[in-house]
Amino acid sequence: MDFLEKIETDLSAAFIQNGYIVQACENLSALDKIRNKTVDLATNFLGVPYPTDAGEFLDEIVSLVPVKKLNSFRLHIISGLMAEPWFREAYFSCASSLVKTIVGNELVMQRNIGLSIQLPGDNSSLLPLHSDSWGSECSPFEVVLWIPLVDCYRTKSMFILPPDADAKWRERVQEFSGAGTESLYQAIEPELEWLEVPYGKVVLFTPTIVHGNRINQESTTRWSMNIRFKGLFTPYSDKRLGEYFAPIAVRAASKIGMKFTMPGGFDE
Amino acid sequence: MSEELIQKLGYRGYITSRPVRGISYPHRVQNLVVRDYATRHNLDYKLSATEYAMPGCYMMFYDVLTELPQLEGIILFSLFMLPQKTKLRLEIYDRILGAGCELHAALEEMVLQEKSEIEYFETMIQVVLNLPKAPMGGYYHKSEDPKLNNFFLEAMRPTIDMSVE
Repeated sequence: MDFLEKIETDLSAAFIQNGYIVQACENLSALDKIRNKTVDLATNFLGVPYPTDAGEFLDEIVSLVPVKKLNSFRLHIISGLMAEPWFREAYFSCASSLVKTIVGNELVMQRNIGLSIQLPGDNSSLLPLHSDSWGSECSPFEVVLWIPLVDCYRTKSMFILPPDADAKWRERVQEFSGAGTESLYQAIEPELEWLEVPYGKVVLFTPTIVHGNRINQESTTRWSMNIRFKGLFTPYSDKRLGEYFAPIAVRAASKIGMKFTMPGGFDE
Repeated sequence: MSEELIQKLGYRGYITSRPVRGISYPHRVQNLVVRDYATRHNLDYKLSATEYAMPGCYMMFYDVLTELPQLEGIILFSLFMLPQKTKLRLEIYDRILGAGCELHAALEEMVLQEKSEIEYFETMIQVVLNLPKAPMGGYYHKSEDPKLNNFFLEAMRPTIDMSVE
């Protein structure tokens, strides 16, 4: 018996079937604020004036940032965003209804930010194919909210292996044990989906399925952020509550339950 | 009677000889975390006090609490070193804040500077204390047999004198 509303049922079915959902950002002004702050931090680092077109500036950043400075540039932006008290709530608001539908309404959120900046042709910022649950301390109960700051498509985006194909290849991963992830990529490549996500849309996906990126062969730079969410009381792995995740929604019944103590002192 | 002005200087580190959330961190590693946290947050770090290994023992922590009049605060290696009993934790928060000090938790990057922040500290601790009652005991095991991942320990067994207590 299922008391979910139809829209929740439909979204849930699509998420399970496809491994992801792409939808319009639920709070575009929050996303614009995040992007504008990102541009502000970038211009401060580079010592250039604030541009008239934020999206175009980010797309063309390759002309201003050499590869050898890319990581310090990226870390500067990450620490600047994390220092803003409004950032985490703004990020969550971009897909809060979707996250609640897919995960639940008692939530924890990753405390830091994942920020990918993939310059065209650059092989220094690659994330080879992987499922987060195969390693990286991740629980299969997590979801990732992936938000681009520019239009993303083809190799300027990320790929996923749809759940049916993922299940099939998961049974065969051991065949590549001595050959490495590149040979596994070549084998699954025909079945991969590259996510088309223009600015103003967000992706929620399950990182249990194989995903990753390749060298960006487009002419403009990919900028995307990723932050994980999971249910407050769903099993954690070694990305633990405390140092990795923080509660963002704890309901009254849980607060009461956690503090409840039975009467004691009885002597049998 | 003239008032004696005591200058409050620095943050005392606090590490432990017991596992934290089931993991035994070497003292050296705990100190790295505490010192790195202090450096990044521009806190004047004072040599860590190290809690004894006996379960439930907080003697060294209470020694640090008596130092509060001379300190700006305490840097715990982890929030989850605080006592399990809520009453004791609440007394500790009150004592630290009442002394005009701060309580930092380096691993979790959390800081207690005023009463309104106690709820956040407590929520974190209470959820973790309740996780064992959640599905799968709140923890997803990556291997059906954890020992399968521990082949280095298994390989060492012939060289460990198992007769020594």
